[in-house]
Amino acid sequence: MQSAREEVRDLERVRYVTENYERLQGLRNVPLGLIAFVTGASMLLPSSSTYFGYVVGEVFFYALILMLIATVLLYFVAGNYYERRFGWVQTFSMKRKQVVAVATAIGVLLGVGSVNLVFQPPIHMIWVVWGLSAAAIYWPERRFRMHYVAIGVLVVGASFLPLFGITSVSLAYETGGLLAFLGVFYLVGGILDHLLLVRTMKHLPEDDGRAV
Amino acid sequence: MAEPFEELAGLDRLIHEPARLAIMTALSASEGADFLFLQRITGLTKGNLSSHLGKLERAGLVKIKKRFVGKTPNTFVSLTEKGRVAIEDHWEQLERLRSGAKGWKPL
Repeated sequence: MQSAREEVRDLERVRYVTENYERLQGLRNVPLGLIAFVTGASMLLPSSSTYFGYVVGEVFFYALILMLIATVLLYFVAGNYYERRFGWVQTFSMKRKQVVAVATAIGVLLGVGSVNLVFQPPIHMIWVVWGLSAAAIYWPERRFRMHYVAIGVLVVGASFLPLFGITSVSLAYETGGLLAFLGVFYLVGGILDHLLLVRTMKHLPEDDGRAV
Repeated sequence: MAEPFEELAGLDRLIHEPARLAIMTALSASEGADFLFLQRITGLTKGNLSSHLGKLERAGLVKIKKRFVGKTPNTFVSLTEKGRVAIEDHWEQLERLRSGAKGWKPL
């Protein structure tokens, strides 16, 4: 039998999972993460590599288009899987405050990106802002999705490495490293979100034969 | 201010039953959900969930809509305005009880 504290914790989890049901359907993001990782990683390889990155540009282009189409299709396939397995929730539409917050974050990122391009500071300001935003956005949800806060903090930390003479990370940031990183972000985040959802959902019990 | 035991006695029994509290909590965090989702999140059998929903519907706390998604029948459940107010009040009451209980001392 559950204690009162466990019961409350269970209810908080019920509330959180219902509220964020669509965002927790992590398998939807896995193909996107995979494509970003493969593309980014291929750009990090030396140009003499036989990988399709720079060597066969045209083939790479068509492969990329195909992968993007597959990603969109798989997004919907994954959505269908969640609906059949766990049911459907009509979540609240985004509140005005959230829309303003997202628009502001995009504006700030674009602004900082431009400053970065013009002044070329020793650290990548755009990733500092990105990492801080990720950590701040997910901080209230840290009990359930601490992984995003950790990733945000890691990105901020890595952005400062050039100040200590470590430029390899900075170089990776400039090329495909960022894309590869985003790929890993979506892959790991997606799988962890999926596990949280699966752990919360209970097994369908044997029916008791009563009419529905 | 009401004493803790008065507060306890004042809790709405219809909502406070654990399965119904879980159903109402899930519904309050969304515009509504279908039967399968409620079953997966509460772990109740079809019959039990159906029975709890029936009680909540008769009390005017939830709305149940039967519909078809493609060719599959689907039951969509959402809170009524009365239900939304009731679950919010209930949580507030529980919160008051919880903070009140911190001050309790053994006799």
